[in-house]
Amino acid sequence: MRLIVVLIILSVPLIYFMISNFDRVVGKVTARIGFVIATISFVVSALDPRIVTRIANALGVGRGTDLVTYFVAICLVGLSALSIAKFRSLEARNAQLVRHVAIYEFERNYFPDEP
Amino acid sequence: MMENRTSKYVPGDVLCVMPAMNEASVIAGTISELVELGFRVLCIDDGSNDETGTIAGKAGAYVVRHPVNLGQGASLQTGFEIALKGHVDISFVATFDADGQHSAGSLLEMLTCFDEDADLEIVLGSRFLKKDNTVPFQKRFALQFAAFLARFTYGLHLTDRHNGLRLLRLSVVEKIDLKVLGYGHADEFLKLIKKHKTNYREWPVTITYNDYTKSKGQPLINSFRIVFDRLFE
Repeated sequence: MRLIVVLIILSVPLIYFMISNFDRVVGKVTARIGFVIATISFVVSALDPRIVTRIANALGVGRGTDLVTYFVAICLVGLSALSIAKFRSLEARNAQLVRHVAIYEFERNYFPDEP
Repeated sequence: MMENRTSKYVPGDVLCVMPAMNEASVIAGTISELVELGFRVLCIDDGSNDETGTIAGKAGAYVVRHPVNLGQGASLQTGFEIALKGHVDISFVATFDADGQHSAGSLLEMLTCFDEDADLEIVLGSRFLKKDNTVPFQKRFALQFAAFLARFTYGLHLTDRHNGLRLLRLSVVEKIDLKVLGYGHADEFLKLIKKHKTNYREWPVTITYNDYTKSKGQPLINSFRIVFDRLFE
């Protein structure tokens, strides 16, 4: 099996790990490391595209452009998943807040004398 | 079927948690049917734009109002948390839809199940246990397929996986913490049953399908959204 296929398959559990731990320190650090790696990779590929071609050949991909495409696609999926997870977390916090207000109002209306 | 069953428990032991959003045209009838039988009703007005909350209060329900719309799962959780506060003396909590598709008579029958089995903790309504059910074909196919899959995901042999009519002992409600805010919450009850090895049974209930309940019901396409959302729980 080509090395690139292995790397793409390995990216799935990595993304899963990131979204399941996004609100923990390890998840936050992983996301930032990913961001730094992605930024450096893009800068290097812009400055010297031959490096990307060499890496692509080493991974069993014919062209550097294809490697960049795979990499961008994985980044995009990871970013989308992370955004959804983060949005969910915010929704949950919002729900807790709304519920707290609603229950407070409910108790004030129906049971004002109870502690 | 079993219309004349009577229970040692009375409807006053049950708090019906009823999420509602923009149900002003039907909610009075739904609540009145329950209140006339003696059930207590807690309506969660989930950010309605109409007079749902006011009408529910006049019909005899306690009303708690979400300032913004959160979803059915979040509304149920609000109801459960209020039930556990102990303001109202109850032994059971029911989940009951506001759109009038459920029957108060079915809930009364479900209450008798607890007489027969002292260890029973949850009774789940099933529209498919009634032979004369009027479930539309597409819905029947999708729901029965979902129920079949529950055997593999939860190890539960159910006939109806997404029925909104449930009756739970208060002791079970303590274990519930619904995380899914929207309609995907139904599976959280199944997870709870699996996790705590909760003693459950299904009971045949009647679901009314008319133009209104069909318009308020979930389109089949939403099942994809529910499955997708579960990936991010």
